[in-house]
Amino acid sequence: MLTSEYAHGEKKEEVNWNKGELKALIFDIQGHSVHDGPGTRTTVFMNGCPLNCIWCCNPEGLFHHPIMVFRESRCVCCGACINACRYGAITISEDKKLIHDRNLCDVCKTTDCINACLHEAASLSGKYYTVEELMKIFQRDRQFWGGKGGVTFSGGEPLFQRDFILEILKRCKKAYIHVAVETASCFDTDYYMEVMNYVSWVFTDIKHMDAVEHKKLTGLENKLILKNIRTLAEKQDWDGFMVPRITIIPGLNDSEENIRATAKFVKEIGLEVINILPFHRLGESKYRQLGRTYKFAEQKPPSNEHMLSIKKIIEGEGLVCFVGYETPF
Amino acid sequence: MAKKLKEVLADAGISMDLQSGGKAPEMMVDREVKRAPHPRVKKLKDIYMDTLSSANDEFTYWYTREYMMHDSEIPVIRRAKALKTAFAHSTPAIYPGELLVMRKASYFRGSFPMPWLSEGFYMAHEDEFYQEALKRGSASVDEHSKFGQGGGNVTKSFGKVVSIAGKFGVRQEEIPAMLKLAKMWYGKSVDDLGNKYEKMVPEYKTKEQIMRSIICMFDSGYTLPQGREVINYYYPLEYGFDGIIKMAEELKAKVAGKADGDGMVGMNRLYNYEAVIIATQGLQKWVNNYAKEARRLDKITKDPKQKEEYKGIAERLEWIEHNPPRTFIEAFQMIETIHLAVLNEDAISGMSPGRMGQVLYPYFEQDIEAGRITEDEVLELLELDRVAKTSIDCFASTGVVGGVLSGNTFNNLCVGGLDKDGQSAVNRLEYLILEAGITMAMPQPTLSVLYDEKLPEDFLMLAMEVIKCGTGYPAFMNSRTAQEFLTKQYGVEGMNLEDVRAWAIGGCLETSPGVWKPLHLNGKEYWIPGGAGQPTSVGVHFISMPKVLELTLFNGVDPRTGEKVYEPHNKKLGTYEEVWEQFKLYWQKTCEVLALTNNIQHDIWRKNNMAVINSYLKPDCLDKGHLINELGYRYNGTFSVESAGTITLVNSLAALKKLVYDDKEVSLKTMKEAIKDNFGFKDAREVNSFSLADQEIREDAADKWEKLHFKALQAPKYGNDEKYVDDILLAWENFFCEDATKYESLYGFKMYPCQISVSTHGPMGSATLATPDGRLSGTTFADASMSAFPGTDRNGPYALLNSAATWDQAKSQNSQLNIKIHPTATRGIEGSKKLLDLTRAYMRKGGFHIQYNIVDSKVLQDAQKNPRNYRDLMVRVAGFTQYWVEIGKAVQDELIARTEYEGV
Repeated sequence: MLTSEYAHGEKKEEVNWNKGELKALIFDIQGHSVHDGPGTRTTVFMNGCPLNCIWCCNPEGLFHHPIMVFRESRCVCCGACINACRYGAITISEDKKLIHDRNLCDVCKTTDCINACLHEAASLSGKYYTVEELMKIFQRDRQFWGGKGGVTFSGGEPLFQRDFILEILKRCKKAYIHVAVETASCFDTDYYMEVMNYVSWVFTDIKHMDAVEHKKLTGLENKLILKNIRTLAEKQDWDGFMVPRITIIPGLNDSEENIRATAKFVKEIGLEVINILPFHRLGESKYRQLGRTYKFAEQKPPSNEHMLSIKKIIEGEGLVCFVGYETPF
Repeated sequence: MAKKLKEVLADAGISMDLQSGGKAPEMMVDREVKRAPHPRVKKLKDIYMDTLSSANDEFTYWYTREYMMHDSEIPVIRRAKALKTAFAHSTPAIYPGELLVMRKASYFRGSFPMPWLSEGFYMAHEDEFYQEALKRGSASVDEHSKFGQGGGNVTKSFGKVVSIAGKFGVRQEEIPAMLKLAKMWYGKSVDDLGNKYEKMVPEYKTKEQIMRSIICMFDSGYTLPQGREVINYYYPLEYGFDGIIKMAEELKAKVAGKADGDGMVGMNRLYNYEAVIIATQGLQKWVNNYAKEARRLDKITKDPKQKEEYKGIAERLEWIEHNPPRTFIEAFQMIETIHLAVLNEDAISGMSPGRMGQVLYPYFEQDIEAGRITEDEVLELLELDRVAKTSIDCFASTGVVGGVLSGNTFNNLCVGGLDKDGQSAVNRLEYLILEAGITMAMPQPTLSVLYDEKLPEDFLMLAMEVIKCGTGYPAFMNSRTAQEFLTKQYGVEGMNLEDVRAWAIGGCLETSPGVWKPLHLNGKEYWIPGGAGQPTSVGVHFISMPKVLELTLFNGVDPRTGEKVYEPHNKKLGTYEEVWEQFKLYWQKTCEVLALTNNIQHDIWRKNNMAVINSYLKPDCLDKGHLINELGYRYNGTFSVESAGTITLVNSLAALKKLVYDDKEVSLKTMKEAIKDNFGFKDAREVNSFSLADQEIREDAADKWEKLHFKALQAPKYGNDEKYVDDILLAWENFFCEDATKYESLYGFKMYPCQISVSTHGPMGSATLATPDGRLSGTTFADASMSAFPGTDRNGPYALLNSAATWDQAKSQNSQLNIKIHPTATRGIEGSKKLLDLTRAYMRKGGFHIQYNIVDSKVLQDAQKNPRNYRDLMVRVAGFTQYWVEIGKAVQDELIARTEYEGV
């Protein structure tokens, strides 16, 4: 799940820098997704994001180009990649482990090390897809969705690759495919609203209600986000469904004050549900594979009791609160 | 306006009243919790868990003694007499707490050898007969099949218990008698006689080589000559034993001395009816002995409740000894008795109760209505049945029991399907059968849902809940696909639409023909389904497809043994088409030779060892006066050609095509060298793992083959919705399904393709060198026929199911797809619905079979290391369920490696 499974086995091809035909960079496509909207779905994880949340669990989604991920468990230390690397970015440590100079990797536009690796330790995350290629996958997968399923665009931030997402959404609409998005809603309102014309189901993050805190955690303020959510929720002719989501990160956004403020906001704009998700540190392995360190590696997920107490606060504000991924959708 | 939550929940079929979190309907919440069986069932289960597989020679002795006394008798009478005496002398064994009684032999997990089928394999290794058997080649497979360690198998002798065939414990003092009995069958058993005559097939030498190279696993005619079929309980339920005898007496009088236009076998009807009477009398005596035992136990028991139960048992047995059952529990006891009787008649695996819930429903309905029984009591009986069925052992050689069956006896119980009039056949009792599958999670009877769009949604959801318990069952079989196959295969024997709907799974996943019969109970008529066909999975057994490809590449010589198997083709194999054409020729040669030799074995079986009891139970033997050997069954075209290693072959052909012929990355010569050199890896046996992931590179090979091996592994693989390789699968299926019909069974009917590997992919893989797809020497093949090779399906379940649906699965008796799913993808009611969506989608695409294994691979690894802590853990491998600890190591390894589809 770390690298695009769809991209697998195509290591020989030179990295395509998205020229000419409209293409999107996608780091994973998952069939039989059961937690990303109504029914059974195919979830597309798209690269790029305007935010930079410090706890992000999909760090590979932040890149705007394909990136090498390194799975140490598969590495046999044969040295083939060292010889292949034209930047001299790879060395062997004394305890026989590969060290990648990721600063050099970042300027490299080849897949030399990946091509050289015979053990699938080095592989590429991120692959470009055309609209047609993606539609072909959807048309195949839709037979398996059952009555209520469809496609969910996730990420990264699915709205980040603007031209592509608009095009694929139009195509999905034409093909009667139910579309959901998981978005941070951090875009100019006109564009955001244009996209939502084609979307029937929105999971939108509300990471923090306080603008200053929000900037600390994500790099940007939340003004635009809240405006977008409100505009969409209050739009008369939009017949989709919107679920605000809060990832509960102990100590960062789980104060009663913040939860209550979020609930009040959601209530005020006429929505009925909030979905709270417990923070998890599964992303830690991805950071390691990208040669980065994860600040939240030691962060424990919130306890069940804590999640339930937050649920109570939200319910106290007259909303329905779903805990975790197991919603009734 | 944005949608309201109420609308959204209504869409999902949930009422808003349930409020947040989507509280589930009560029925479902109940099932998410693992429930315990009734206390008495738990006690009996504990006995089972602490009991070892045990064999004795009581039945063997009485059968042999009686049989040898009548050497001038007509074979069918001789056989009936031997059976009667053996049943009449079987020592009864009743355990406290049992309500449904009777066992195969006088042990909890008892069985006995049948040397009249084959006497060689259970002899001591140094015994000259065994040495003789070894020379014949067919014993070599034993050496490639290992039983799982632990469980109830007696893998090693201890104290005064001798281990036989790697599974059964026999008291030391019984060994001399057992050997003496075996010797009495030397030259007379089906195995020996069959061998004598199969040698007269001009190409017998090729057959011997085929067996020795493990291109084929097992002869058919004497190993498990019956089974993989659906039993029929109708006659004893409708008429009782006395009624059957009366009917046979009347018919006997009618046909005595008459040929009625049939100059060949018309006269035989007299002897056949006589045999029916004799055998039935034996069964009555057997039942009576159990009744007496229950009376004896009653006398010596003090506990008043237990005394009552013994009395009840005795009364029920005394009643069904003569009369048709009147109540649910009497009917249940009757079918338990019949089931064991049939299993004791022959070496049988896969005697399926069939659609038992529909057979017993009349009694259930009337008892519930009259208040004679409660649903809870019915559930308890169903749980008891699970202990009884799980305790059934099948005595056969290690090769057969371990390599093919993993010790499983496949008493497959089917639910669902359509009734005679084409409506859903599901009834309330079948809900309880599923429920008992949760409360009493034991491997037998394994459960199968005969899926049809007409089945009720809540029933299908309940089936999903059972799957989620991690028991591995039920499997889903597609009723429509099966019906198309049945029409195609049995149309020639006059199968009509009603009979088409009476089918069920016989054995692990063999589509078996059935019929409807009218059962009368208190003036009400019920049409109940039951088996009406000969055994399936007989004929040409499991041919190792990758091995045939290996011999194609190596010009007819087995590179492992250096022996010539086929006539050299001496072709250059300069094009992919040439490889494919030659492969087909060797394949056809294999089928041709094996069809002939196995026909002879089965013919000996039908002459000297024909079924009497199993036979007369099935329509239309009693009507016609002919048993199985004289085409008494309504459907007789049940012989098949079995394939094994489908996906390993398909991947290998794809790799050859890609690397050698299309891209010309490597020459065929180099590829063959790499195969011979195992791509520079150690032998799997040396590493002691049969999973590809664990193989170790040889130091001396350094990196000679590293690049080529990588390319082989990267070549297109089945299961990714990739046309390049799916087209090869399609070509294979189109060839195989057509080719199989060219071989004729001894009964004069066309054979058909059967695509289940059961557990043969382990031992067969162990005898096959590396394959062009990068699989290494000795490691297992891909299991089943539609499962991807472990770790090679990288595009998710949708792509896999799409690849599997490339071909028309109705052309084949079956196909098999096992898929492991992590519990996180199935949690909650929504998880169940989504799993059902996936299943339904595959069925709609024409998939025949899908089976889920919802476990964590970490759990499995730990279970392998600490089998003692996991005696309860059950897994579903290749079409059936078994305790993990009982499964051979190679299959365990493969299960661990199989790709997991994580939903999170």
